Amino acid sequence: MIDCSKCSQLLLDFCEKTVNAQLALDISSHLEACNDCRQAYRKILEVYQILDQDAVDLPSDDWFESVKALAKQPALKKKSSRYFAWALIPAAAAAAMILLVFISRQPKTFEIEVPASFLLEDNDIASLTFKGLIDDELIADLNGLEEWAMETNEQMIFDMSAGEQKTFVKKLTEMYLIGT
Amino acid sequence: MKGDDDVILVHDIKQGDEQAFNRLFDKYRVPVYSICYRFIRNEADAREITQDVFIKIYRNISKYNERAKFFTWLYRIAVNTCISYKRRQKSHIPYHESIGEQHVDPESLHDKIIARKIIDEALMKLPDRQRTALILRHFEGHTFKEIGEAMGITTGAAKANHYQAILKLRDYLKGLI
Ligand SMILES: [Zn+2]
Repeated sequence: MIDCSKCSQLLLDFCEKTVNAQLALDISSHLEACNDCRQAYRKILEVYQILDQDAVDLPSDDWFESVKALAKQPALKKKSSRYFAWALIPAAAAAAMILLVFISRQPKTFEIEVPASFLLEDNDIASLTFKGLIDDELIADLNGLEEWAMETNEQMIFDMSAGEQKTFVKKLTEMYLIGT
Repeated sequence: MKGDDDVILVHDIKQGDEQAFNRLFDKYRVPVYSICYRFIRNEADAREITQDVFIKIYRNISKYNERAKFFTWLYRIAVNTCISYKRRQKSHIPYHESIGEQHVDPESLHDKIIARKIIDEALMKLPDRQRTALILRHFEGHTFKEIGEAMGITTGAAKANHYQAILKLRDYLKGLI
């Protein structure tokens, strides 16, 4: 048998079906018997149900075909688009930006990701979340820090000369063995 | 599409086989568009990003390292492109005063539109990583390990981000619950 505290700790794991069969049975029986936990469970289930109604209207097949054709034309530039303004900057900078996006997501490149990983790598994340040990603020701080680092990197590349950009990309490629 | 194993397709694309790219595109066009739409919550932007993602895939396929699952590489590019796009949108207008507090009758058409807005608003309020973990888990059905690989974070962090998203949505969606 499990109590309310244990039940609420495991509720998300239960909803995600990541608890073992015995625990799932224990939680089910507790939910049958306990009104408070049942209410909490229902609220979470309703979130899942609302999300299930969130349909995506897909573009037409013709549109997808045009994208497929466009993707295979390396030299083609898109017409007026704010987003593609950066495509006008030298190719090296664009390449560096793409590389950086990949690199910056790799745990090795950010010191902050080491302690964060230790902190967040836990088999019982749900219980820590419920206890408030992993809260939104902490995750926001870590995300913010990473975003700041990425933003700074991108800005840095914009400010470099073409030669500096080339050297920078070359160094990064060597350092992180990109493409190997 | 039996036998269209990603590793073989990518190998063939690297050899210059355009048909292989076509098959890869057809296989992933729906998930990529869906991820982009669910991240950005706007059709025009989702189209532009989807296009950009496939251009990047085609041009950078040689950089894909076959030791990782292809879709985690693809989804990482999709998510990073969404994040960059959002950052570059200087004119991005934040949502107005929350409508999530209103109570909504799911049967009425007018309320269905409001409900859609509440869902849009709730998802856009989530931090990028939480929204990404939620999309890849709930809508795309991936394991936390795969999500961690796609997001460049640990399995535990992927799970934590997803759980935080669900708990926050429980509050943001209370008008519908
Ligand atoms: Zn209870």
